[in-house]
Amino acid sequence: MSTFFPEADPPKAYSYMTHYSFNSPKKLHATGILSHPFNQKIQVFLPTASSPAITSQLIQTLQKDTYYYHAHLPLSLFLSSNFMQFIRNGLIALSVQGGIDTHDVICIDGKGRMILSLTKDTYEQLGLTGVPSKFHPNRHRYVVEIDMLSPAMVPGKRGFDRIKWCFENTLVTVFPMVLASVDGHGVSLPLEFPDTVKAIKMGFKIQCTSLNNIIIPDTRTIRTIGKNNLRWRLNVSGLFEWIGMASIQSDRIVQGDKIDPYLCVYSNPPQANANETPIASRACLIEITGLIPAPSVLHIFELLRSVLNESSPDPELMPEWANFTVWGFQDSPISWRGKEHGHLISGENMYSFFLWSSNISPQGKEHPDTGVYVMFENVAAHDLHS
Amino acid sequence: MDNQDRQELSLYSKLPDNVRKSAGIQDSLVGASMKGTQALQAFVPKYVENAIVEGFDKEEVYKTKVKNKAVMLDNPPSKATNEVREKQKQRRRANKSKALTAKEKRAFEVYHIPVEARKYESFLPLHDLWKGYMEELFGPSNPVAFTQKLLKADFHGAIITVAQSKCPTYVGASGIVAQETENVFKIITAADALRVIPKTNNVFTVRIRNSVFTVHGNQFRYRASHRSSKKFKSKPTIDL
Repeated sequence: MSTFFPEADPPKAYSYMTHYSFNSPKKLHATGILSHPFNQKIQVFLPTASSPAITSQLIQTLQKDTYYYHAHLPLSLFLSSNFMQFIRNGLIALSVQGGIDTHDVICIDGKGRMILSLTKDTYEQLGLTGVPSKFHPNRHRYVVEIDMLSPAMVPGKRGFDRIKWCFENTLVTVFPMVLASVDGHGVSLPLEFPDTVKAIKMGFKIQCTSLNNIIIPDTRTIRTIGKNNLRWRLNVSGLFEWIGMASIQSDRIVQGDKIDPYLCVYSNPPQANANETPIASRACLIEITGLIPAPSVLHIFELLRSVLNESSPDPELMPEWANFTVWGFQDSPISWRGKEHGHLISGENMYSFFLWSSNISPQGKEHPDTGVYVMFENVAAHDLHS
Repeated sequence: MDNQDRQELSLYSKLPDNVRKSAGIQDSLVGASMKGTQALQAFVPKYVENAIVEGFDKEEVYKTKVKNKAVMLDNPPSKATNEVREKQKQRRRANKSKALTAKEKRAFEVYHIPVEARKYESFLPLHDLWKGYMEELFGPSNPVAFTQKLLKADFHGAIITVAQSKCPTYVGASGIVAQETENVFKIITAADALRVIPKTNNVFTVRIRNSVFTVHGNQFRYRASHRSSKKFKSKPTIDL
C-alpha cells in the first residue's frame, strides 16, 4: 500500500484527449469502449428537455435483455466445465469486496484471462506464480494472471491441476462477485450456477433527471481542432469540467447563481453569444448503473448516435449534441487493454465522448466532417493506461 | 669462570688420591675407554662390596645384582620405545581418518539418497517410529507447552507441509522428512519423489495428534544436533 503524504507533490493523474471522426476506418471509439471491461455507470447528457422517446428507447433495450448477477463464489467454481464454457463466451466477473490496494481482488476480463491482484500474504500462501505489482515497488502486492483460454487449461494437465489444487486448498475464500456475460450485440447470456451458490439476478438501475434553468455553454469550440492545440485542450478540459458540474447537479451552473468568489471561483465556459446575458435552458441526464459489459456500452453508444442523427418532427426536443460518460470500477485490477490499475487516492478510470448531430454543420469549414467526436479518457495516478 | 681453571673442581680432573687408592686404579686408565678393561672389572666388585652395609652376603649380592648386568645410569631414548610411539601415532591417525571430512563426504555422496530408495512406502515405518516418539514426548502436556519440546525434537520421519513460501512453487509440498540439515529439509513426497526444501523463507506445518503446529523456517535454521541443545528466544512473527 502506498502512503499518501499531504505535503508531498500530488500524485500525477492523466487525461487523454482525442479528436477523431466516426467516418475514419479506424474505429477508435469502438476500440476504446470495448477494451475497457468493467464499467460501473453510464451517464448521458442531453442539452434538451427530457425526451420520453429517447429514454423509453433506452429503457426498453436495457430491460429486455441485459442483466447481471451478484453471487458469492469460490474460485474453484470457475474451473468447472460449465464456467469454462461461460468464460469462452466472454464472461466478465469482478469481486466487489474490499479495495484494490488493501484486499484481494479477482476478475475475469471477458477475454478469458483471470487476474488475481493479491496482497503479499495471500500470494505467499496461494502457490501460483505471479509478478509484483507495478505500483508497489516494495513487493507488497502481487498480480497473478491465468489464461483460461490456453489449450493447456484442460483437466489432467499439470498446470490446470495445480491451479485447481490451489483454488481448492489454499485460496478457498468465497468472494462476493458481480458477473455478466453478453454476446457481441449487448444481449446478455444466461449463467447457470450450482445449487450451493445463491446468485441474484440484477437489472440495471436507470435514472432520468431533468435540469432546469442551467447555462449550457457552446460546445462547437472543441469541434474543430486548429493549430493552437493548447487552446483546444483548455476548451476541452473546461467543457468536461462543466459536464462534471452538471452531473453532480451543482448550483454553480444555474442561471443567476451568485456565489461568493471566496468560496468558489468556478466560472462557466462561454456561450455562443458571449457578449450578451447568458440564456438559461433545460437539460436531461440519464444515468445507468450496474455492471455494464463493454459490448452493452457500445450498444448504448450506437443507440445514442442513431438518436442524434435521425430527424425528429419536433425540433425542440432534438439535441444538437450529447455527452456520453462512462465510469469504470475504482477497484478493478485492470483498466484499458488489461493494463494494471490501482487506487491510491481516487482510482479514477473513466472516459467521455462529446458527439454532435450530423445535422448541424461545424464552424467555418467548406467540407465538414459530420462524424467528428472528442474522446476524453481520464485515469488517476495508479494506472498503466496510456 | 674461575672454577674452570681450578683443576680439582673441573669435571675431567683427576680423581682424589684416597678414592684412587681404595679402588686400586692407576692413573693411566682414567679417561680411556672403560669397556672390558681389567681395571674396571677389578673396580666394580670392590666398590659394590664397600658400599654394602653389614648383615648381607657381599659376594652373593654382587653376583645376583651386578655381575654381568647392564645397569642404566641415564634414560637415553631407546630405539625400541621410538618405534612403539610411531606405531601408536600411526594407529591414532588411522582411527581419525575413519571419519570423513565434509569434502570427502560430498565426494562419496554419503548423504545421497539413491533414486531407488526414494519410496514413500519405505519411509512410512520411519514415520510410525516418529509418531511413537512424539507420543512419548507429548505425554499429558498441553499443545502450548509442547511447542517448547517440539522445537528441540528430531524431525526425521515427520510429515511436513509447506504452508507459506516466498517461492510459490514450494507451497503445498508435503512429505516425510528423510534428512534434515542446517538449511534444508529433504522430504519424500507421496509421489515417491525427493524434494529439497530450504528452511529460509518457508513456513511449514506439522500435524501431531489433533493439533497443527506452524514452524517458521527462518528461525529454525540450525542443525538438528545443535537445535536440541539451543536456547530459543521468542521472536515476534516475522514477515517472509
